[in-house]
Amino acid sequence: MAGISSDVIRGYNDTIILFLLMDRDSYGYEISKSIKQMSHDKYVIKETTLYSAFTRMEKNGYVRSYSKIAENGKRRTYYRITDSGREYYLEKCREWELTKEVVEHFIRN
Amino acid sequence: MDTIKNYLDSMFAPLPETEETVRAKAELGAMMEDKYNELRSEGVSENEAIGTVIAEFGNIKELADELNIADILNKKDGSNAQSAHESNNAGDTDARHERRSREEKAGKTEPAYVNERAETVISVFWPTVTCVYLILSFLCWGWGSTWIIWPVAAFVFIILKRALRIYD
Repeated sequence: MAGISSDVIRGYNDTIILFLLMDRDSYGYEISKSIKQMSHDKYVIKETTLYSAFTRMEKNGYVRSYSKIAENGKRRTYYRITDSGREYYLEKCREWELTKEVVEHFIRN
Repeated sequence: MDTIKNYLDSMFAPLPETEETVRAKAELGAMMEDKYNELRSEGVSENEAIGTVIAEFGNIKELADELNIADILNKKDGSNAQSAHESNNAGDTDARHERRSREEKAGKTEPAYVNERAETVISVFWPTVTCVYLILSFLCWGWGSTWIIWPVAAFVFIILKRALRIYD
């Protein structure tokens, strides 16, 4: 199977990250690890992609960052989803349903 | 871990030191360190862990907009971009200049280069260096010394970028 195209998934990196922040706050590496695990190793997000998504979403008010001492005693930047981030996530889910439906019409197996 | 730090240093070497770039570097460094430590704790060899972390780092260009380095670069290039636009009338270069000013408005940071080939060289530079680094390191198993490629490459890159730029 060919690897996932970063061009195609780019529009949904924010959605993926926001999904992982829905239930609890998290930090960079934990999020990247969850993405890898939940996609069964089919999608490994690059560090620069992840960081650029964090800063962009913080600018847009979808997440807020704060610094916290983690269990291992290291200071880490944690991210928390905001109300407008939750709204944006739901909007992206609806957009995906529509996209999927449209593209599906043109896929031959 | 030193190799990863050196790699990150060289990635940020051409960038100005601003609040955003300092923060980005620290965050990226933390993510790389976490990944490295986890791989090591899973029993992956030091060299393989370094290779994986560097291969999965991504492209620093992705951060141009978020780091506000667009603003800083534009301020520095502003005057010569304008006069270059006035003094250069050759169709090909003119089109590039137009694209350049469009890109500047859009907040992109890539300057104009002398020709298409120069643009290609610039754009494939870091992927090539990364490949060379990984191939060399895996072939000779010389991780202790091959990291030297990063500071050297950063230096060459700055020279190359200056040499291939359009000046008025």
